[in-house]
Amino acid sequence: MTRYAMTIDLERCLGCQACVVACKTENQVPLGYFRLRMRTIVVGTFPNLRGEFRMEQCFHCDNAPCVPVCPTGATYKTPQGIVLVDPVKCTGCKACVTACPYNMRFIHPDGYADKCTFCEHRVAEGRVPACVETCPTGARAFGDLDQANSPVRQMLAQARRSDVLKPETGACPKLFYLNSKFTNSDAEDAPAVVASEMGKAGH
Amino acid sequence: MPEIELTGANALTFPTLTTWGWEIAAYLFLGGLVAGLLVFAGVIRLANAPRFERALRVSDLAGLPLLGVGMFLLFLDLSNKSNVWRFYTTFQVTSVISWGAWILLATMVVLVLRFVARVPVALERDWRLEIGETKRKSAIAKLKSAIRSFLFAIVRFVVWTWNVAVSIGAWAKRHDRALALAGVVLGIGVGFYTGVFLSTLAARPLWNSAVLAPLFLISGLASGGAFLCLLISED
Repeated sequence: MTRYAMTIDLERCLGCQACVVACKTENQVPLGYFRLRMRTIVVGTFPNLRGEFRMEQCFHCDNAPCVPVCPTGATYKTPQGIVLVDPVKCTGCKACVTACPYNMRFIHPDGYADKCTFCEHRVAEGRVPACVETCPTGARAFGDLDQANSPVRQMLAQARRSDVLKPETGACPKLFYLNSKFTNSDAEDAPAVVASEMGKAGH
Repeated sequence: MPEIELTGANALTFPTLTTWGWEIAAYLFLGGLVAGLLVFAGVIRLANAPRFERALRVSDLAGLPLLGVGMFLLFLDLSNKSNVWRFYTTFQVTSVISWGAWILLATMVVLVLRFVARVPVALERDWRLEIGETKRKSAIAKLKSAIRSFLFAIVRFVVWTWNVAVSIGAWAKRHDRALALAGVVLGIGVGFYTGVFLSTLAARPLWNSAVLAPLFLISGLASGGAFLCLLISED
């Protein structure tokens, strides 16, 4: 079985947002809307502050909460583990937007729910998503989580640590943040929001 | 003092976190109100309490317009309005909104039946709607008679619809108790499903509680009861 997944090495990410630009160009995301976004996280006690950039997009969760809530079956998961929206079926009821623990969905100006598709049209041709291809530092990797020699599995194997966001929701996201500077033991001097957002890997 | 900054470098890339507007809030109120009306009216009818006949009439006449407005607000909230019919070409077992769509449709059927059962009397069929022969054949006279026959056709249609409503209402009156029972069941469904939907969202910890659905139902019963008390008080 194929389960497409992505890894982002936070030690390599410079926060240049080239992926945001590549995504907008590739998918013709309308003006004012983004399928990718960047968070800047700074933690510590002055002057010992540490920061990192975190790119966020749809995590194509194994147990995606947005799929079962759809009343018309417009949101579905492909056999390759990519979560997609069929605009023809979408009524724009926004149940999926509310159900996403990561707020990754938005309503396209044409009325339907939209989000990252893992560049499904490129993946079908055997290419990697636009954000992965464009990344100047090679921080991103894309591939099949079920294949031992896939780029994501290799990145996961080499990583010092890997995290997923909000593992407590049980969604099992398939985008892994590698080598984050913030460990769970930071929780004692970091506020709860970081502890909950940067939990242990959910798998 | 630990410091934290958890911000987007570009605020433009972040979505707004409010997904629903006032329409859904207003619907939640109206849906709960109608759920309360249905449950109370059903219980009164099944218990044969003629003392509360007035409450029955109020709930039969108010239920349909109230839920009509509520469902129209749900429609207003859809951002892909031309796809609204897709709710009724499928049933998604895992989607509480899909249950809700079908429960609302069934509830509307019961409310329409209850409403038309209150339509008082049939109208005379043979109203004087015949159009007199026009003797002069000027263009203006022809136009006048065309407009008149068009208006009469509308009146005839209204009379016909009214009388159909009266005969459906007579059927509904014969199945009073079955409708009352259906009203109780569907009323509980309407009052419950919104709470079930919101409480199943692990993404929103505040709502993610088993208390929410009973809370919605009970507050719907409270507002339905209050509505009846307000309108049936003699003083």
